[in-house]
Amino acid sequence: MPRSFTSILDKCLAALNQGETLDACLARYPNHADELRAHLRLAQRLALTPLHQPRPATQAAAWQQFRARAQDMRLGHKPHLSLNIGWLRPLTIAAAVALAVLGAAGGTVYASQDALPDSPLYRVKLASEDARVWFTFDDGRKAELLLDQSNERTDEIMEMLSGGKSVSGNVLSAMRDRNARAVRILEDQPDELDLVTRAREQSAEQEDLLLVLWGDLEESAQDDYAEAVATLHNAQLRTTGIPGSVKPDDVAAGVISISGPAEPAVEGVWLLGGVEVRLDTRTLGGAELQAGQPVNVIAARGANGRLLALSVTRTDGEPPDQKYVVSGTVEDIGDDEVVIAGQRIAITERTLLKLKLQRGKSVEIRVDDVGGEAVAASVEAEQAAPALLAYEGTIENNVSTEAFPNDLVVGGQEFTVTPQTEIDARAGALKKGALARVESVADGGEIVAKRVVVLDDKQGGSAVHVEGVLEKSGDGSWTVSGVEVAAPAQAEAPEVGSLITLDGHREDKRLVAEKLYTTYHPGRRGFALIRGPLVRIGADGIWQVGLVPLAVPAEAVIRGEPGEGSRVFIWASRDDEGALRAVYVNVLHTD
Amino acid sequence: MYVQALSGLVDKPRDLPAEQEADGAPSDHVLREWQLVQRAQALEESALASLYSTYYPKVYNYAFLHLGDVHAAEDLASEVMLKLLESIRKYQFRGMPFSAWVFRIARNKLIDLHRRRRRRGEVDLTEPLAAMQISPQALAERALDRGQIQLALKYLTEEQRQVIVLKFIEGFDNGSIARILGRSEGAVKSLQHRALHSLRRIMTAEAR
Repeated sequence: MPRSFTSILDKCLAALNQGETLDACLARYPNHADELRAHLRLAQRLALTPLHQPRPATQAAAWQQFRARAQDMRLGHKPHLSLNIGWLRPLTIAAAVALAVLGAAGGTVYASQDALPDSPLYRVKLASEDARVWFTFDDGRKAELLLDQSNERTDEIMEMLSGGKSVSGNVLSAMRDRNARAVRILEDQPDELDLVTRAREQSAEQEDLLLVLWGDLEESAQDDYAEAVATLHNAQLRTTGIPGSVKPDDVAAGVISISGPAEPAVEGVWLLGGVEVRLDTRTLGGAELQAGQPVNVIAARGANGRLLALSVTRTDGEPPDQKYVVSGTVEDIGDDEVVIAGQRIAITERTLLKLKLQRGKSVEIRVDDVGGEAVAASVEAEQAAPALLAYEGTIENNVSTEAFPNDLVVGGQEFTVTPQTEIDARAGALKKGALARVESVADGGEIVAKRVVVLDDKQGGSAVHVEGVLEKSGDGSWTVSGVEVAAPAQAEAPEVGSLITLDGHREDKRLVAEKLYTTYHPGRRGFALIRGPLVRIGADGIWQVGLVPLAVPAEAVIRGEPGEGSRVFIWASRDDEGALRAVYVNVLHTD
Repeated sequence: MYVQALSGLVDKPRDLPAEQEADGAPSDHVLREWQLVQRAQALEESALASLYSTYYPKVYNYAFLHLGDVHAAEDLASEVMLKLLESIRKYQFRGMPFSAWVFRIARNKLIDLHRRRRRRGEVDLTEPLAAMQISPQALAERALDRGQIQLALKYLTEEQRQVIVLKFIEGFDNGSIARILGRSEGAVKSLQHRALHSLRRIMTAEAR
């Protein structure tokens, strides 16, 4: 006999499903009869709701599109490249001649249709696409075809990334070329409203994709990348009547993401998180900011380090932080979903998959909370070795407001800043003397910053806090996630792979540990790292970070004062039943 | 079948997908649908037409209840059907009914649409609470019809709305809803309770 009302209600709904009467069900649960009756009657009324019927003409039109797509599939065509064969038929002979001139036999052209940018047949694929454009004489149709071809480049990039490959210059160049040609045609065709809208929206989506790809480029592809980002950005402006003025040089050093309050500096220039960013209506359209308004900015970074805002999103009035990050091992892969840290996360068409998903792989997933649904924005391989280093200390070098630095010295440790580094300056400006937390990984002798979070911009002290994984130990010295630490006296080195959290200070460039908080070996499942907003602290010891529930047992170490709304970073392990258990909780901010 | 049984009380049958028999074996309906899907996987036109005529109206109804906009619902239904066609060869009957698979596509498309709207700064029609002129109290005084359901649903959370629409209007069982939403059956039961409770408060004078 179920005891909770939730179970009783479900039993009764199931019983009605089997043909039982409402009264019979109520009689079985007399103590809940009144509440049950109300719920069950509401369920009946809901079931009576007439369905909304689609308009027959629209349904029929959509069927024709569906049927045509099915016919394309029977012919082996890819969806984005479906062609109006009948229209092309009069030109078949001419097209064949053109393709012969291109040196591509028909079979080669056919074989090239699935070629990716790293294939020798890719040139043939692009050439056959060009031939289709040459033999299309209607401008609207030509622009549409070019947009289709530009979109095919998006699919190719996604496929390359999911196969663990770098993005090459040829695909970026082809995307830029087709996009630019389509927009040029459409500028003379103002009546093609649907196509103009499509060009604008498609360019925005493609730019969004490229903005997170700097770290996935082949080294030789950076110039093509800069040209493609500039072209896609300008395309959005040009299709709204604003002459786009982003130059490839503005993007020569990639892009950077900064969040923090905006303060006006001089005309057209704002300080975001203490760093100057140009906000130009010729590059942004009509964005208007108020002093002190919190914003997220994606800024192009020129070769001279100067920043030019490509997008500005106001974050006031938004729920605090709808994104969070989970790192750990892939436990299961289902239809359109992945299970990590015990949580099911939806994978949609817009999820940026930077690897082929496999069980047992270590990944980092950026999760969007979309109306209560955990949806993966991106999935990428976690750098398994060396492990993440979280390092808190005072920023010691001068941070120029005019140009974004290439390195930061925090608590005596030098960190390399790359175009992939995220800057979170919501709690204070990025400047000398501010207390900052750097999440980083060691790479080829450098410690590369992945995220810099300003914790407090008032004068910090000389203390340093470190969280990381023990890599080796000996002679009183430990290596924690790539950083040498003089171990505390009498401290016995834990097993390699253990989590180390400590407070210390710099002494002649050495990091000396004063207080060791916790050492914990995660066992074979590894640690799951969770960074995001603390949504709920349950009396039962269950916390919810983003959409992730996890147990915080009494023995877990908690640094700071947690509160609902705080931003936290948690090192967690899995218990025998697969549930997440926090080992160490660091409260970064209380918003 | 869930809604058929409810319909025994309310004498209004609705044609909804059957799931599994009590002994766990797939029902005749599920097996027939699986055969139909296999023909559709071979792109047989009559099978595709049959799936289309079955699912387009259901997906449209689902989309309309979430979006409250005819054009957006039509666009979403068309997108879902095209995605169904492009992906149907990947579908394998492994305990997930085809109908649940289709609605999982629909839910993902809905999520994508919300993301696009948020990115463009569009008003989300599923959350127009401040702009709505009608109060829960006023709703409670009216008979329940399609329009009121539409309005009342807007007061629920996204997950609660999903469960109400999928269970009581589209007729899925808890297992299928769990697969569509990527949640456990226990979570679905709990959501079902909370959703009915919230809806009841909206529909009755308790909300005053």
